[in-house]
Amino acid sequence: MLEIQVYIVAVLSLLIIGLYCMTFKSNMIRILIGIEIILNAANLSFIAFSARFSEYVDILAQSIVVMSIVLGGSVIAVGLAMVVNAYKHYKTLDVKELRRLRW
Amino acid sequence: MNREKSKGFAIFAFAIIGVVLAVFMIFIATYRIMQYGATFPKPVMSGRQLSRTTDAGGIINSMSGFIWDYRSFDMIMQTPVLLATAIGCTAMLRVIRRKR
Amino acid sequence: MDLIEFIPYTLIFLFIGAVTALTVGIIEERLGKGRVKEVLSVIFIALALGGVLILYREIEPSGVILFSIIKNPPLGSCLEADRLSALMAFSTLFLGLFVGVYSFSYMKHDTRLGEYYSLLLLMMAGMVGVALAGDFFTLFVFWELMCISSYVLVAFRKETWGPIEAGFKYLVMSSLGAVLILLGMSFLYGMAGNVNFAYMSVGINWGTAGIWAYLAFILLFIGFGIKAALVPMHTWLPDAHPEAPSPISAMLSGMLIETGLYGFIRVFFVVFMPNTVLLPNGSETFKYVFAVFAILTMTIGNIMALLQKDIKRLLAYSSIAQIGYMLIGVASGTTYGLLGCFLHVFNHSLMKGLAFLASGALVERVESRNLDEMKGFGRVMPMTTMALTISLLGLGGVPATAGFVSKFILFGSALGPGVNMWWLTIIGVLNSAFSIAYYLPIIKTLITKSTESSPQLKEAPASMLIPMCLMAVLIVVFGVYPQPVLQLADGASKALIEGLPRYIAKIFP
Repeated sequence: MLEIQVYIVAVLSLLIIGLYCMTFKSNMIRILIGIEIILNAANLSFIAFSARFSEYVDILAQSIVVMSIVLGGSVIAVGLAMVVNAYKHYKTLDVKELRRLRW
Repeated sequence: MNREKSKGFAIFAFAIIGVVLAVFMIFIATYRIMQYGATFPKPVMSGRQLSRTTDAGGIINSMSGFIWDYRSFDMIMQTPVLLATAIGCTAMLRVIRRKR
Repeated sequence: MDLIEFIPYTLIFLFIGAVTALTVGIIEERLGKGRVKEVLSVIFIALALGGVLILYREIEPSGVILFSIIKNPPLGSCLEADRLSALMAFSTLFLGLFVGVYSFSYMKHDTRLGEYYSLLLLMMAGMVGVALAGDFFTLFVFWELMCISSYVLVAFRKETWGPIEAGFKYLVMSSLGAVLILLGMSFLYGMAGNVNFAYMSVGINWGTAGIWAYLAFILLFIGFGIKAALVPMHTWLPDAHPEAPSPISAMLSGMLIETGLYGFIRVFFVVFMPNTVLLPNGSETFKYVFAVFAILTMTIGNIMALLQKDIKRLLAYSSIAQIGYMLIGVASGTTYGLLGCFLHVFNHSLMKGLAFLASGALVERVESRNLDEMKGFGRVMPMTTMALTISLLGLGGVPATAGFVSKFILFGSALGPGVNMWWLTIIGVLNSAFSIAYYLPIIKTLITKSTESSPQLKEAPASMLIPMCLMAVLIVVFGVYPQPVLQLADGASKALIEGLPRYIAKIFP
């Protein structure tokens, strides 16, 4: 187990990568994957803080991670159902085409 | 044609400078966190549920036991979340043909 | 070993109602006719409202009550209800009752109604659960329940392109907020060792926390702020509210964004606020941060509302401005300021809910959301226009409506003894006066005499009129005689600020 700051740097870089993915990608499914990346950053953060001690592990954080994976999965399920409907209307997966709602 | 090429070149230069600046700032942030992060506070109060990492095959049983003992309310409340997901997906994906 | 001091009847009734509405809906869809599911869901909402009143009775003696099964907090998950939670649950179910009765004839011609009613009940169960939660991860599970139901309900009329586009934008931004909340929760867990609110309040070593506490605060502020529609994280709201069906717009604008604000208030005032003296430049920083965001939210909400021609989009921007007023109360940090904030939560749910319901009735008859096409239709639908007028005057803060009382307390709280933010009061009053400038043209457009007449327009049906008129009467009554709601909000704000030692003593006796 390395020191805690290595893991904090990893969590924050995953956060930045996830935000980049959500901001600059134009495919709708890639935006949903960006949400999953930030969710993985949060899970990694929980696990890293639970394993800070030598020869002991705090299993409260690991049970939270088990349950948060389920919640992330259901959000993505609803998101993909919405992407299917958007494809039926707009005939493209490009999020830049979803520009009809203005002012 | 020349204007277009120079405009494209300007955008390209700005993009390269932006990417270099961003990577540079990420390196500096990493260095500062590595220096400063050693003071991340340890928890104050004791009396927490810990489990030995050397329990071969035992950690899965102790984790299930932990969840069902201490976090059962969260586990039970995930059932309505899954129900809402299922109902939501059927509501969004059903095709109803109306007889006109 | 259980610690059951109350049984959450509200949640039980809402979950049973959701399953019942779904099964009855499936049966009726096979048969092709039948309206039993609407009646059943309204009955279950009324039963859940009774459960909240029982909760109020049980909180009376001690002020805080706990519910946890099999093992106790702080390590086990628990529901910890104090008067603030009861006020939020009461507001949710009160508005939900009117919305349920209104949807009886508004959604008559839609398909998949079984799913609609069960998702509406699940969304309300999620909101009540967020209010009652005593543990941060329990709050997160109920938060996700509330969010997932609302994503589907916003995009419910999927045959046109508008709700789908609005629903996708809403989903992306709101789930970003939810995972940022999870990330902030993980940093607080790393500092404290547990995710219980009372444990985090006393168990963090703030002296060495320094910048990590600020990082957790920023992540939680952005995460909850996306849901509470604080500027600059508000961009999903003006798209989601017009495209959702009108009863869902009323529910969204009336309670969902206030539940986001409640989540942030609960985390801030229990975990961060008592310990701000230990952080470097703690208490002043937070007050000024909230004041700046309050000014930004109010101003941008009001200015953008002035430019709208779509009536529901105008009301959506007005919601953003009202959240700005509530932030003034949070920025003051005193019991009086929070009294104004919670009173405005209840009043705004009534007023904005009524505004969306009435404008929904108008939009349904006129078949268009554009204000220019609604010239003169107020004379054909007098009761609806009267209700809309009362709600718009209430939102603007005209005396003798409920909005005046709560805005008076909010703007006065910024001038308090420990809080010398007179500039905040001045900007707030100016914004409130400025908001009348876009409420009045709606009324004027509706009641001018128009040259053409459309014979197919009649008044709205009775099941849409009864909740609207009842809400309008309540707005006027609570404006002239605000004592009952003032007592509720007073108990709520005192339970948050002065009841904090009692809240913590429940977990660590």
